[in-house]
Amino acid sequence: MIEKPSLVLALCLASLPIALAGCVTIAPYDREYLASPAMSAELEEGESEFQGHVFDSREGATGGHGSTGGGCGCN
Amino acid sequence: MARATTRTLCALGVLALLTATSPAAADEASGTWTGDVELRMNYYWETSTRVVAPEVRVRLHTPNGVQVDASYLLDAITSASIAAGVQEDIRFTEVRNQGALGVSTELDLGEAQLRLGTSGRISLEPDYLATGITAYGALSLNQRSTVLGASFTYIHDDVGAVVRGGAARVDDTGRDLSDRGRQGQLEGFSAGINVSQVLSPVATLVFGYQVLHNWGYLQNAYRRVPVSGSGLVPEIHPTQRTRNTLHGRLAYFIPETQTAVHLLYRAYIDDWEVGALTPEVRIYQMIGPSALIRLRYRYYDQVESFFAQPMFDGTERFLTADQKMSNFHSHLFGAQLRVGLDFLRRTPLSFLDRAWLDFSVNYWVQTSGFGNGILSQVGLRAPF
Repeated sequence: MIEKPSLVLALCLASLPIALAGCVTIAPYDREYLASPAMSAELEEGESEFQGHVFDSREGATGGHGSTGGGCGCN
Repeated sequence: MARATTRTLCALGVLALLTATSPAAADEASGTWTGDVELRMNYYWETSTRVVAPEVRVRLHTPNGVQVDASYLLDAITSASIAAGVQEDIRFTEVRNQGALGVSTELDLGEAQLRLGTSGRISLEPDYLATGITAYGALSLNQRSTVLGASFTYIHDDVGAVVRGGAARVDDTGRDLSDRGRQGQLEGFSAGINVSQVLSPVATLVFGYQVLHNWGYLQNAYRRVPVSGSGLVPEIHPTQRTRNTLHGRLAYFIPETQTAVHLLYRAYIDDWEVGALTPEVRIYQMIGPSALIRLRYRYYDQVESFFAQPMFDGTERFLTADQKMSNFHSHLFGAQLRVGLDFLRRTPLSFLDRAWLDFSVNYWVQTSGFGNGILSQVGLRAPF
């Protein structure tokens, strides 16, 4: 079971990518591999929405998958 | 309830009109409408609950550069649920209808592109009406290597209660007496920011932050709490809740094996002292150009709210029987097969030759009172 102080550390670690991302530019002709279906999160939007709904109705946490905190009587 | 729905629809309509009359985008010359249709069947099973939810989603790109998204979902709960507060073995079927509509357009700013959009959602079931309206924007920079996004959502829910199970309750005139009326309303807003960054020709990173504030009726209208000396009494939750979520997704492609690895992470904390960490790994393996297998593992670990406790003696300010307020963790194991239908090219079904079919099964091991579950989905996505 996680401890609450570790959540603060986790939040800090999770924010590190903000500093790491930088402003890299990859030209469109260099994105062949990024166009693979294996790299596309957009193709999963449909299934992710219902899964997010199930997770919201069974877990105390929310967010990160487009949910907005309301939506049905299963709270 | 009706006024709120009307207000939401009017606001959405005005924003849709504003967006639809915005400057044209790149594919205006072709004069053609493009898009895709997605049909999906969702199924969820656990000891006390079975949910079947068919849905259809349509995305349209108009010749003047406007994108329209519409969806409809029918959510049929076919058995009793602990979450619904049922204290005995009552079987019932409850249907929820959900519709959503969104429009967006992209403005060309020279070396950057700005996408602006809005969407609205209505969910209706016998004892609950949920509405929400969202405005969002996304600024693409560095030849779309960097995308900065922001969104704002306002929600309004009307919470009711009905008598569930058993014979229909009607009076001498045939009037339905099962409706217990409105119990309260739930309001809320969420604001989110996110950054999407292409890190290299084989790696991408998305991360973001979301804050969600709710106020109003935050307990369940049916759940009852066992209290010493008082029997079962209705839940009492705080009337406000502020929730914070950090989330990220790192994707890496290995060209030699046509394999992709996605690492997902979410850290959550709120002012009810519920905290949770959700790491997940997904592995995608291409099998030729038209088939894909995905394996996933998701772990969820949660600490309980400040008012959760196994027994109540009646002196507590807040009372809860909500499993989601307790300490628990879960493991989700899943597999998906996604197949391109290009083999239909020379058949009477050739109109589907650019479509993809997916089938997934997820097994969910939960230490909460809900027990283990199975989540399965079948989808067909066809571009046109």
